[in-house]
Formats: sequence, C-alpha cells, structure tokens
Amino acid sequence: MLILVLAVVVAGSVIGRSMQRVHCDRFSDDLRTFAAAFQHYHRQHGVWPPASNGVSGIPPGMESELKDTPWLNRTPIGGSYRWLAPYPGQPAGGGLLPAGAIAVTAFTPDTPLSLTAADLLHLDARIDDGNLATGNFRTGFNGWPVYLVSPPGR
Amino acid sequence: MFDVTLVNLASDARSASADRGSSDLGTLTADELTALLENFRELDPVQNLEADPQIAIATRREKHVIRTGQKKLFLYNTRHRDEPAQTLTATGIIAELDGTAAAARTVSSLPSDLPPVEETSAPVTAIGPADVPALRWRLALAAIACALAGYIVYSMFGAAGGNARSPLSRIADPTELATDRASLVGVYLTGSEPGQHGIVVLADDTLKLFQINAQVAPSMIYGTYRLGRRGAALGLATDQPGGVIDVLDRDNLVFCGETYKRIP
Repeated sequence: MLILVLAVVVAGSVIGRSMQRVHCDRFSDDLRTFAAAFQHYHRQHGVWPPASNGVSGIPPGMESELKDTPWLNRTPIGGSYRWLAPYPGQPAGGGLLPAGAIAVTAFTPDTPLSLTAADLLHLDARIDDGNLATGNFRTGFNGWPVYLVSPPGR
Repeated sequence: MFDVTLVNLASDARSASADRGSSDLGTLTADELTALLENFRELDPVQNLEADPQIAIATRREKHVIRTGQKKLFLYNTRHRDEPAQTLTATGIIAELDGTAAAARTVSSLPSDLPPVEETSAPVTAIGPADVPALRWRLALAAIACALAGYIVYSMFGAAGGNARSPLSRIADPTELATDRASLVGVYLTGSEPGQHGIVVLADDTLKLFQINAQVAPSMIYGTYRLGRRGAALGLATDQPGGVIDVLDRDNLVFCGETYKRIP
C-alpha cells in the first residue's frame, strides 16, 4: 500500500516535470524564432527596432516579422514577451551587452511566471551555455529570463 | 545433523532389494551422510530398478528424498512434489540441506558494490531455503520504496539547491531594525532611460519594483520584504523571484546583478 501511494506521488511528479519540460522547450523554440526575426530586421535596417514602449505589443516595424508567431500570447512558461531595445549610451538587458533583448515579464498578476531554478538551468543548457550569469540567456530584472539578441554575424 | 531413513536399502546403501522395507539410521553427521550418499550413487543399476530404493532425510525445516540413477543423485523436496528434482553431488546435497547453498545464492544476487558488513558476535538466525524467496521479495519491495521516497525527496529539495545562498538572519533588536529600515526607505534606480529599473523601499515592509517605459507609465510590481543581515551586511529578503536585495551601503542596492542608486 505504501509503495502504491509512493508510486502515485512519483508518477504525478514525473508527469508534472515532463509537462514543464515540454513548456520550457516550446519557450526556447519561441525565443529562437523571435531572435531570428529581430536579427532579420537588423539586417534589413541596420538598427534594432524600437522598444515595445512598456506594453506587450509588437515592437514598431516588426509587424510582418512577428506575424504568425506567438509573440502576443502568454508565453508557455507564463508572463509576456517584451522587446528591450538598446538606448543611447546604455545597452538593453540591464547593461549586460550591446544588444537587444527579449525579456519575459510578469507585471500583470494574470500571467504569473512558473519557472524554477532547475527550469532556468535547463533552458540555458538547451539554448545557451548552461550558465545563467553568462552568454545570451540570463536572469535579468526580478530574476525573470532575458535572451540577448546580438546583431547578425556576431 | 540429519535424520536419515533408508527405504529398500542396506544400512551402508551399497545394495538394495524390494523386501528390505524402511529402516531408520538415526542422526548422521554431514560426513557420515556424504559417505552414505557416495555408496548410494554407486548402487547396482539392476537392483536400483527392481527395488526403487530411496534415502529420506529430515532436517529441522524440510524433508527430502534422494534417489539415484546413472551414478547420479536426485534430490526431491517432499513439500514441493510438483517441482523437478535437483541433480547434485553428495556435497551439493549436503549444502542444500544445511542451507549454505541457498545463502550463497542470496549473497550472489545482491549488488557487488555494497559496503562490507561488519562481523558481530550476535547470534545469527538460520534462514531456511523456503524463506529465501520471501526474503528476496521483501528486500526488493524495500528497495523500491526507498528509491521512490528518495526520488520524492530529491524532487522536493535537490533541484532547488543549485543556487542557494545563505539566508538572511533576523534582526532581533526592534530599535536597530527600525533604524536600519528608516535608513533604507527611498527610491533607487539603475538609470533613467526606458528599459532601466527602479526599486521603491517603503517603511511598511512593502516595496515596488518597476521598469521605466518610453511613452507610458512605468510597469510596476508590488511585493513585500523582510530586513535582515548576512554577516555584517544588510539585505532585503523579498517575496519576488529575484530573491534578496543586497544593501551595499545606504545609497546603493544590488538586485539580480544590477546596481540601483538612491535618487535624492
């Protein structure tokens, strides 16, 4: 009986983790898609598109690039996507690199983030260098994930 | 020690006839039984066929019957008549009867990298061959239960332990707490450009985290904090994913890798 109870608990945990990993993998795929779109814009115009102006809308000029993408949806791990553009004298992403950044924010309580430290490390290992303090995938403001987008060719 | 009864056999088990019937040899030692079995194994095949002799052996837990043929010995367990006989040597039969063979099988089925077991002078309870499958089953269930419990503990605590920092200790003195809190109340910014961030520390143990936007009001999130110390340094343990806000000094905070400066 004890083993049955333990098995049910473990099965629930394994299923929950598997589902979360699926969401994380979808999220990392989204980040790659968005990064490619922003890099394409930079290649076409020589500059990054302007920031989203604090709203979860499509950044000005990115309408065609982000058409048919889930940019406006709630992300698979909760929260909303935002584009942080470099501004004069200061780079985006909290002064991390001279790059634009795709940030996930959860300012509105109806889209809470559901990420553990293990999820963040899994994401970093999947799309970056496995270190949340270095590379393109990092934790930024309030521990929320940030994906730095370098100009094409860098 | 083994209680031995011969059926249709001479007392030395070298000859057999159907009219001998059953004769009790009493209790034999392992060496005496081994010698008897070796004699039995050499029995004339014709006598063996005509008399159908056998040796019945009773131990403390089991009863067995031994037959012979083609200079081999066949061991039958009388409690498991439907099971096939084991073909064994005389010493092999002794090992089965005294339980050493079953014990050897149990040890060989355990993982080889287990730590050595310390010898003790405590009395050891003999385990009969019939107990071995039940013991194995219980060991397997215990191992499964341990593995499941271990997984649950790991999933609860193991995954969160990678980036753990030492927690803030409480400030017990109310006067010191009030003084420290009052010294930190204020607004702190990483800069004034869109995309940069700010923290508002309030006196009622609440705070606001915000991001400056270009054309609209700052995006804001509300939280709470508890003032504490890590060593000599002050810190604000928040209820936010970012965790602890470190206090560098009265005018500078560090949160999630960014430095926030107090604005006048």
